[in-house]
Parts: sequence; structure tokens; C-alpha cells
Amino acid sequence: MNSSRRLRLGLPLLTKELLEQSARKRTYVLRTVYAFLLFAGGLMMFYSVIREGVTNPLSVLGRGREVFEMLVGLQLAGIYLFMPAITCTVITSEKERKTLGLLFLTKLGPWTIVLEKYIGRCFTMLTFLMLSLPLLAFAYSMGGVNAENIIVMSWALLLTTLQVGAFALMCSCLFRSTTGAFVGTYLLGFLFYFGPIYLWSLFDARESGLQAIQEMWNFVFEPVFGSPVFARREQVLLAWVPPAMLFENLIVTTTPTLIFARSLPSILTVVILLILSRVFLVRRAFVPPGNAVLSWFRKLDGLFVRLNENRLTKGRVVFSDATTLPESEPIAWRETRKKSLGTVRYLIRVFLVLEAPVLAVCLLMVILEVGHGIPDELSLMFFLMWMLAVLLVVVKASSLISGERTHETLDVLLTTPLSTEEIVSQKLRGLWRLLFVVAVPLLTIILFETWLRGIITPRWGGRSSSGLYLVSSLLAVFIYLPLAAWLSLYFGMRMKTQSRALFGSLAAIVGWCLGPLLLLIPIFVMFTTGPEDSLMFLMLASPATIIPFTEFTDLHQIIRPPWLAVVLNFLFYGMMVLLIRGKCLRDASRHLGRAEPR
Amino acid sequence: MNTSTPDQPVIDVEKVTFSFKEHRALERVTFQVWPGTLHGFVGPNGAGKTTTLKLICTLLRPQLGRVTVFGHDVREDMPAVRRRLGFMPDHFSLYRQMSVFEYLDFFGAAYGFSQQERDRIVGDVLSLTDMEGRRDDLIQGLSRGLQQRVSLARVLVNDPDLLLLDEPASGLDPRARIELMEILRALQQMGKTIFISSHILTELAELCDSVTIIDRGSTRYSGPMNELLQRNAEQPTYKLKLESPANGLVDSLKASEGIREVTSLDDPRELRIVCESRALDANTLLRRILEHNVQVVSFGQDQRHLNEAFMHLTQEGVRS
Amino acid sequence: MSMVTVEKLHVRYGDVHAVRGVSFEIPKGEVFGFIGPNGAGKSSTIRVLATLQREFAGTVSVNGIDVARHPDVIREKIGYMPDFFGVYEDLTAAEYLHFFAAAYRLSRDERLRTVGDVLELTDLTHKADAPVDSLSRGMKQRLALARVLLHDPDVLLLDEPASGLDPRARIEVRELLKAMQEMGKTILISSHILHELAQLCTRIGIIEQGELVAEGSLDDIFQQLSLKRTVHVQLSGPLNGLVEQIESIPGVESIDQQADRLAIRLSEHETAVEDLHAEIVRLGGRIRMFQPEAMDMETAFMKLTEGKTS
Repeated sequence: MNSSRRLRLGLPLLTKELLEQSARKRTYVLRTVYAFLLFAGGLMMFYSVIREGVTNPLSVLGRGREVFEMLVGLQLAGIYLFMPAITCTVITSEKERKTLGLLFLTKLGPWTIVLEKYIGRCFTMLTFLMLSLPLLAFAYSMGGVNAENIIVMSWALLLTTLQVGAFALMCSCLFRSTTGAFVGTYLLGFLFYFGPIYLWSLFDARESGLQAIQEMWNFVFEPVFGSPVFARREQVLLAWVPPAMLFENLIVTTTPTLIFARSLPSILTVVILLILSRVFLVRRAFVPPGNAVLSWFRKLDGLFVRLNENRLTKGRVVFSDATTLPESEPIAWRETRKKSLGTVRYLIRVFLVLEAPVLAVCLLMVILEVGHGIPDELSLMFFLMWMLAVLLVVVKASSLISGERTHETLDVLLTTPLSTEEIVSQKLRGLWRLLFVVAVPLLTIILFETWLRGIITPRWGGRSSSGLYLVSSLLAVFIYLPLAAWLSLYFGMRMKTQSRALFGSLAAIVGWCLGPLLLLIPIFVMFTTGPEDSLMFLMLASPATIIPFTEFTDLHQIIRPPWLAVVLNFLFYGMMVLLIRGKCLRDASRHLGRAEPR
Repeated sequence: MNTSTPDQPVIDVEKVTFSFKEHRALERVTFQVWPGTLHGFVGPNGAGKTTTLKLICTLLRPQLGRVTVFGHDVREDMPAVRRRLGFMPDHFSLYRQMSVFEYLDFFGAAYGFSQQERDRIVGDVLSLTDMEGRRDDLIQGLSRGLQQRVSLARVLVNDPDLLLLDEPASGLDPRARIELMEILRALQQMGKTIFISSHILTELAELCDSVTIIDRGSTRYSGPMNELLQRNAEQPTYKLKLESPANGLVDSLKASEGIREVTSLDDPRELRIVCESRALDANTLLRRILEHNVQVVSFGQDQRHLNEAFMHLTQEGVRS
Repeated sequence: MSMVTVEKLHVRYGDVHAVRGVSFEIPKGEVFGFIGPNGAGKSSTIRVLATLQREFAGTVSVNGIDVARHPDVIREKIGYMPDFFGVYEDLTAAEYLHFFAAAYRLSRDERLRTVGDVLELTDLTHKADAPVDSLSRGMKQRLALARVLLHDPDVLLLDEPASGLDPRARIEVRELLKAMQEMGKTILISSHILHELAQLCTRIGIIEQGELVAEGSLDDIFQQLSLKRTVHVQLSGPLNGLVEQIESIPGVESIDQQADRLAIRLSEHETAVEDLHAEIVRLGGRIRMFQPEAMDMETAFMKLTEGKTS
């Protein structure tokens, strides 16, 4: 085994990366999961293609293109979902094991470290992408796809992998802990891809500015490349997103130079991100432990204090966390009075940071859009808030117990006479406050939307009625958020480290949202030919579906009776909350490692 | 290549000051380490030992003052310094999923050795640390003592002339510690200079040639070990242990000629006797004691223990 | 009656058989030193006593109460300090103690008094309002000891209380332990550093690979091993056959003539150390130095353990 597992290449770090990955169970689990999702998704899409009007075997021919496009979409989703998770640990794990200093002392320069680590992770992702070759061959055999399409697709996927990888690598260099890098990659990544487009659409609905950029760019580069770089105006806002730039080239055959021209901004961002990684790697190699969120809030705190010391409020403090001593519930006391993100002061800050932009956007929408229906900006904001809320809740809930474990404080707590249930429920006290804080901005958006739907535009084009919308959205907030909280708490109790608990609970939630869609629907489609309604009922098996359903479509038209679907769905998830909660409390002693009276 | 001469120190730390934000970790620290010595670096927890080591191995840069290693300034000639030293941090810094061989081979490659060279080097360091039998074991399955030895083997991969070891013995049981000490002795005989930080003193006393004591960021002593232990040779001190306490003896000794001071220790049966000068020799003193009809359990010159020296040198300030 | 009784204790973690049939008793008021190499099963045994191990075989009781059956009662009776202890960085020392006082369900008035008392005892009163994070390692260790005393437990379980401390902090901890012993507490201390324990413990158990290889008082263990004492003697003047004469003293096993001294190996139950001294003087030796080697725990340890775990 050893003669084969040795360093043959001249790239020690890269070889080490691959060696280490091959020794980890996680690598294989991840690959299997990816393959499963890919093939389940592929199967589902094939059936939906074939189901539509296939009368004889020959009519399948030429439909390979549809399959092909879906396949590309699936792969892209895979990259955006998996690549950050794979890559964001790359430098932080060295920081956490304190081996980064040793690497600096060897002959490996910072550039070597950055690049070899980067290539190692991209290589892993590419092996994931290889898994789709059989599906691709199938699509190719159905016709409608030519070799050129496949080359462009490969290029687009490669470029996306490189870009997402470079972004996650930069975050990994920037943050101190894996957890920080993970959350940071997704949040900053969201801003990176959607920030500009969102801001643009929010503040300037006119597209003349975009057109100017488009024309300017094309004017400069058209002579160079022989054809316009930006085919459409909107592309300017997504110039650095490879799929947005290249997707139409998958179908329409174009020259390689044009493809290169369109990839140029993306390539540029990859280079910039790598340079940033190199800078952060050295600058932030030995960052002392410290809560980034906390220090950020401290700075904000100073600002608030200065704002407060004006003539009007005269530095009055409405909510103060007086340093009192614990009464009868010490853990709850610590969670709500002493933990940085548990105190009223900080929660109010969080609340303001979240609520202020939400309110601003809501009001802006009301002013601009009255009578025009539900603006997409509001819906986007709503989803963003959802993701943020779930992320905050998951991070906090999964670290409740695992945090005590990594700080080695759990054992001491367990030897006190407090019962396990008391420990768990007191630990949760701070979490409920946070839950409340993230729920309010969501409720704000829901109320605004209900108002827009109900009073101004009753039953406006293809969207649910205000009553149904209100009930369904409220139930989602009040059932899904606690569901996420309890689920993460459960993972936090079972996993040894904080980052594993976080990854585990996020994976479970994403899996739960996507799994039923990918698994149930193909089965359903294969074995029944029932009415569409029951398919839609099935769709509701995933917690992720009801939110976009109520947001974008009219439940009345999709499912009959709509109320029944909503009630059934929430009954089911309400039961799940109770079930997981019961399991958490019942099994707490076992998972925490504490003897109970026999 | 070898720029150091016998009369040039391997490590020369001169008036080095270093702060982390408001916290001043080092304040004008000065000491030298000479070639071929095993130099102990002793201080209470949080005295600035790890910071000093990181400065020497170029992971931190001195803010004030000068650190030279083999005559190279750590700020200006970083690669030259890095090439010639091996650093072992206080945590083991291992890749736990790799086998011992893979781990060492990786660092060999990272130091730019070719495959043939690495085969030889890894074999050498494994035999030096007596780890040949564990070549193919995964690191995560090894005991703490063995992990420590893997870490030491890693330090030796680039055949450094200077070894910097941060708390190598902490958390090891006596057997593992004694084995580690043997390896270090062997390395010293190979001509390597070893700089070792520790808060466990007893093991250092027998091992080190010279020692630096640091407390709250400043040096308290730096020099040969024996000088530290026998500082007041002009006033010989003896330690006496009796079978049972004898109060009469203390008083009469105090009154006796040539004796400066007699103090009882924690154990009332133990006495410390300080003589005025060398005039009063040990045998005469013992005779005088025996005249009092006491049963002597032990008698001998009181060598200042490293522990005591440490306590004496670090006691000045109130610990904060 | 014994305060702590452990009988035929077995602990398994999956395939690893960490503790294999350990039995010992600690009478009330004794200090039991638990010694062994890293990974010998010390912490596992202590965790069973601290009610942190669900699965184990054998009988373990504290003050006659079975640990397996009534862990909730046991928790009131023990004070446990783990080998690695984290502290809540967001609390001050006093808050930290109040937190645990409340967790041990002390009433509010009691809490104020007790926290004051234990701070005083551990000499941390001046640091009461300092954040726990800012304390030095030694102080954190003392704070952890203060916490252990809050609910006035009968038995203290201390896992490696002195590891990683500098000599000064170690002496402070030792003094504290002495004070606790005087308070009548039964103490179980585990350690792999031997000399610090020798002065403190009334009984000692040496464990290796999950099995207790020796148990009893220090003297018992030395007897059991029939260890020879070495006495270093410096004589002034010519020896004149003195060495042979000393060699004929009963109990003297051998004499090693070193450059400036004689190293005499003595089996103590035949001739006591003091008698050897008197004998040499009687034989006319002019003694310049007479130093018996301290009872060497390290030798005992090396002799008893075979180093399988290291």
C-alpha cells in the first residue's frame, strides 16, 4: 500500500491533499450523495421529457438537447451547492490543526500553498462532474446535441468550478474557523452573485445605464473578437457569472473567440480572487481567536452609543443588561445575560440590522408598485430573509451543545445535579429569543404582502389569495423555524465538534428540502398516471416547496382543495417538530454521555 | 555555507520587545545560545516563551530589537534562517489521517528534497527516533508519546543545525519523557544546538548546559546551568536531616563560631546551615553536630535546586 | 467504612477495553494517588465515578451509594475536575462560581457566603470581578478547585490537576489540596507526574493498560517491589579498608566506588539508614556527606509499568 501511496509528483501539497482526502470517509460519502442526487435528478428529468407526448420510440430522437440542458442545470446546481462546502475547509483546517506555521517554515511559498490547495479541491469537484458522463452519453445518443455543445458545456462547468472554488478559497484564507468560512462563503457568495443585480433593480428600474455599459464594452471589444460580447443588456450585471454568459452558447454554435470574450470577466474574477487569497493567507494566518460577529457588533455598538448621545435621547438606555447574578436557572441566565448573541442589547442590534432594510424595501415597494402586483424584489427579499433566518438559527442551535463540548465545559455541567432536560431546555432559552428576532422581519414582509394582495390587488394574476397566503406563510414561519432549531440541536448533541454539527444539520435540512423532490416524483411518475393534484400533494412532502408555492403561484389553481393541502402539510411538519423535540429531550442523556438512574 | 564560528552565538536575541495589541508579551528580552549546547528556556505559564520561539523561527517579526540566527537577521534573511532550523510547536501539529511515513515524506517534499533523498532521510529520522516499527501506522492511532516522536522526526527532516522545541515534555508520562530525553542527548552529540522551552524544571536540570529564565516578558537569568545552581559558593550551605527534631541543636549551632545562619525548613527535622566562609569544613561541622548526640539521617552541601532558583528569580512581581 | 469502592470495574469503548477489572477502596479522609502512563485508563475510571460513563461493568459506589443506580444522588456528593477544563470566557470569576452554585441549587444567601468563602480559600478574592479568560493558567486551576468545593462534597475527583502548570502554580495547587485534606475530604487525584504526588498521597494505585498493577501506601509499594535504597557517602581522609568494613555491615548489598563518593545500596529492613550512618562513624569514617536518595517514585513507576501503552 505504501509504495503506491507516496509522493510521485513534484507538487507535495497537492499530493498530500489528495492522499488525505482519500483517507477520509467523508470524501466517499459526499461522492455517493452527489451521484445519488445527480442520477435521481437526471432520471426525473428524463421521465418528464419522455412522458410528454412520446407515442413511438422514434419520437424520442432529437430530444437529447432538452435532456442535455437539464443536465447542465443540474451540474451547475451541484457546483454551487457542493464546491463551497468542499473548498471552504481547505486553509481553515490547517489553521485549526495549527499546521499552517509549519508549512510556512518549509520551502513552500504562499503562492504554492494557495495554488496547490486550490487545484486539489477543484480536482475533487471535477471527479464529481465526471459522474455525469453516462447521463451525457445517453443524451448524446438521443440526438440534438453536437460535440461543440459538449465542449462549451465542459468549459462553462470548469469555469464555474474554478470561480466558486477561488471564492471559497479566499473565504477560507480570510476566516479563522471552518464554521466561519462556511457561513461566510455562502453569505458573501450570495452577495457576490446577486448583490449588484438586486441593487440595480431596486434603485434604478431604467435600463439605460446598463445599455450604456453594454454598448461601450461591445464598442471596445467587438473589433477584437469580431462579435458583440454582451448579447443582452442584463448580461452586464452578470458578466462574471459563467453560466449566465455562456448558456445560450450551449445551443447556438459560436466561435471560440466569442466564447473566450464572454468568459473573460469570469477569468478575471478568478485571478483577482486568487490574488486576494494569497494576500489573506499571509495576513490572516495567525489571527487570534475572536468572534468576528461579536467584534463587528462591538464596533456597531460604539456607533449606536454615539448616535444615542444626541440632544433628543440624551444617552438614555431603554434596554440594559444589568450584571445580576443567576436566580434559579443558571444556564438560562448565562444564555440570555452573558452570551454575546443572547443579550437583549445585541439581539436588538441584530434585529435593527435585519429589520431596517426589510422595512425600507417594503415601503419603497409600496410607494413604487402600488397597483402593479407583487414585486419580485419583495419576493427575493423574502427568500433571502428565509435563508438568513434558517442559517442563523442553525448556527446557533447546532453550537448550543457542541460548543460546550469543544470548550470542554460540558462534563463539568453534567456532574451538577441539574437534570438533563433542565440543561437542554435552559440552553434553548437564548435560542428562542433569536428565533423571535429573525421571525419579525419575515412577518413584516408577510404582512406587507398580504396587504398588497388583499386590499390593493385582490386575487391578482395567478397568485394565492391573501387569506390563504397569510395562513400558509405564518404557519411556515412558526413551524419551520422551530423545526430547523430542534433538528440542529439534535445534530449538535450527537456530533463531536461544532463544525461537524453545523455541516450535519445544514446537510440534513438541504437534503430534506431536495430529497423528496428528487426521489418521490420520479417514482410517482413511473408508477402512476394519476391526476396532477396528487403530484402536487407529493411535492408538499418537501418543506421547501410550500414557501415558493404560496409566494409565486395560486394554490387555488394548483391544488384542489388548497386548504386541505396546507393543513395536511403543516400538520405533518408540526408532528415532526414534536417528534424531534421529544427525541431530543428523551435521548439527551445518552447523547451527552451521562449516566441515568437504572 | 556555515556562517557561524565557535565564538558566534547560534541565537542572538537582543533587546527584543513584542506586543499583541495592548498586551506587552516581551520587554527587552536579551540572551544568547551557543553552538552545540542544549539550552533550556524556563518560565511560568504565560511568561512569553512561545512568543520568543515564534520570533526566532520567523513566524513573528520583532517589533523592536534584533534577533539573529546563525548570524542572519530574522527580519531580513528569512529563507536562510528557515533552512537551518527545525521548529516543534507545543501542540503536535500533525495530519492525523496520514501514516507516519506519508507525513514525513510530505514534509521532505515540502523542503524540496528529491524522492531518493527523501527515502534516505525518512529512513534516517525514523531510526533516530526509534520509530521504524511504526512506519506505516496512521498517526491518529498513536499514543501521545509516539505522536511526540513523530513530531520530533518531522523537525529533523531538513537536517537542521538548530532545533527549537516548545514544551516537548508536557503531558508525557515518565517513560515517554525519559525516552525523549535520550533522543535529545543523542541529537546533541551529533552537534546540533537544541533550544528547549519547558515549565517542568527537574528534567531540564540534568539535561541542559545552559539556561535562560524568563518571567512576565523579561529575562531574569541567562547563562550556564552550574553557575545558576551554585551562585553563593563563598558561603557554603549545608542541609541536615535528623531522625527527630532537636531544638537544642539549633540554638547551640547558632551560637557556635563560623556559622552565619541556621534555619529550620518545612519539615522540623530538616535544617539549613549557612557558614561564614570556607574555613569551616564539612567534616568539622558534622562532628560538632554529632557531639549533640543526634541521629543524622542525611548531611551534605545544599545545592540550589533549579526549582528554587526558578522560584527565587520569578518571585519578585506579584503574579497577575 | 470506605468512602469510595470500586470493584471489578470494566469499561469498553467499542473494541477498546480501556479498564480491565480495576478494584480499589479509598477510606474516608485519605488522598488516593492514581498513577499511570497516558492512556492507561485513569480518566475512564474517574469518569465512571463522576457519573459520566453510562456503560460499564462492575460495582462502583460512593459512600455506600451505587453509582449505576443513583447517579443523581452521587452528583451531590462528588466534586469533579476534568483533565482539560474549559471555562466560560464570557463570565467573571465570581459569576462563574455563582453560576455553578445555582446549578448545585444553593439558596441565594448561601451562595453569596459560599462563593466568598471559596474565593478566599483559593486566594482569588482580588480577582473576583476579572473575566475568567484573563486569568493565568494557575489561577484558572484554582478557580476550578474553588468550583469543586462549592457544594461541600465528600469526595473530590481530580483528573490531572497539576498538568501544564509551572512550579509555582503547582505548589499553590498542592497547598490547596493539603487544605482540602485537612477539611476531611476524601480525594482521588490522577497524575502522570509522580514527584508532585509522592508528598501528598496517603495511598497510591498504579495502573497500566487498564489494570491496577500495585496498590497501597507508598511504603507498601516499595516493600512489595523490594526496592533497594541508595545512600551516597563522601568520606574524607584515606579509606584504609573502610570500604570492606562497610560492605560487611548487614543489609549492605553493594558499594560502588565513584570518583568522589561511595554509592551504597542498602536493603532497609535489615539496617535502617540512621543505623548505617552510626555504623560508619563507629568504624571511624570521617563523613563529609551522607545522603540517602529520595524514595524514587520514578524508578517504581518504571519498574511496575512495562511501557506497553507508550
